[in-house]
Amino acid sequence: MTRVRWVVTCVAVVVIGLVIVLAASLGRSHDTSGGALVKHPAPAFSLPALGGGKVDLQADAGKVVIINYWNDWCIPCQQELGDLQRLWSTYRTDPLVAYVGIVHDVHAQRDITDYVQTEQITFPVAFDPGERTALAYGVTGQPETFVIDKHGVVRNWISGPIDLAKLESLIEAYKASA
Amino acid sequence: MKGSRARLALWVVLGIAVATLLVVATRSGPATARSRADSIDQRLKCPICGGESVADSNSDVSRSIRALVLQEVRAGKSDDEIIAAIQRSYPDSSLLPAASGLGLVAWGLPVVAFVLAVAGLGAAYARNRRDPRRVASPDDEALVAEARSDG
Repeated sequence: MTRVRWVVTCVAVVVIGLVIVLAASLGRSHDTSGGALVKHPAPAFSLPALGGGKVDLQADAGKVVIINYWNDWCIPCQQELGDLQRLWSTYRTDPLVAYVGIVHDVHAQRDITDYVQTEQITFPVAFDPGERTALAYGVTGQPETFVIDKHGVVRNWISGPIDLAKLESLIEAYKASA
Repeated sequence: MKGSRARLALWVVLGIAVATLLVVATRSGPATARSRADSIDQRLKCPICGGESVADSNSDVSRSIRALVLQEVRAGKSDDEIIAAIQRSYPDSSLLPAASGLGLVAWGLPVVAFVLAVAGLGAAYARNRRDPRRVASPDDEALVAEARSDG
């Protein structure tokens, strides 16, 4: 084999190898946020609640828990607010379901009260000082919603506004499961 | 012979000087909490800004991660513990070379190219040393003489 042919063969092998590796990498999903927690135990938290007191995940052990990260200036959060309020109205008296809206904004604690009153929000609102809980859940933005089953395992991660009917069917399924 | 020894001595002195400089430049005092946190931030990828490190990013999530890293450093946790905790929530947050796939190619290719280049240079140098010095043939000398007479 001449030297030129040898070099051409080597280059061809390298190029084909690169194409194969690139193709394999493109086919892989890159789940960089909350989705990583799905099928894993939900990180515990005890957060200060709007109006005083604490919102403690451990206190809701044995329930299906919906956690929604939101804030008042996020447009998609405003869009799903009505659905979340309807969800809360449906399940507020259900002993097997708990809900908390965690404000995902380190500076929001001082002025969220006005927004909650103006929008007549009645679901539990908690603050996340230093965003430690958001980091534990792998939150990258808002709104993001986590559905935790009765065993404390994260079952779903929803990035963006919720689909109310779908979320209700998930809640019912997890309530009914053993 | 004397010249080659002098050259060898020069290379040895140069090597020692470079090694000394490297040792002095990379030696540092005890790391402060801030400098340790900065170094961890450099090793973490911002989860929402393709390729930028947490240290360089101004995104909210990166700022929160920076604050968390500093708190954890001050709490006495090791670098590996802090990085592992963040990677539990953000699995693709490492800026260190991945052991497979595209990361392996991106980090490994320059190293392979460098090794091949050094090996090629070494081979060329060895071949030049092996080959006898070329001597001008009578034809070459005639050609040069002709060119000179033309000038």
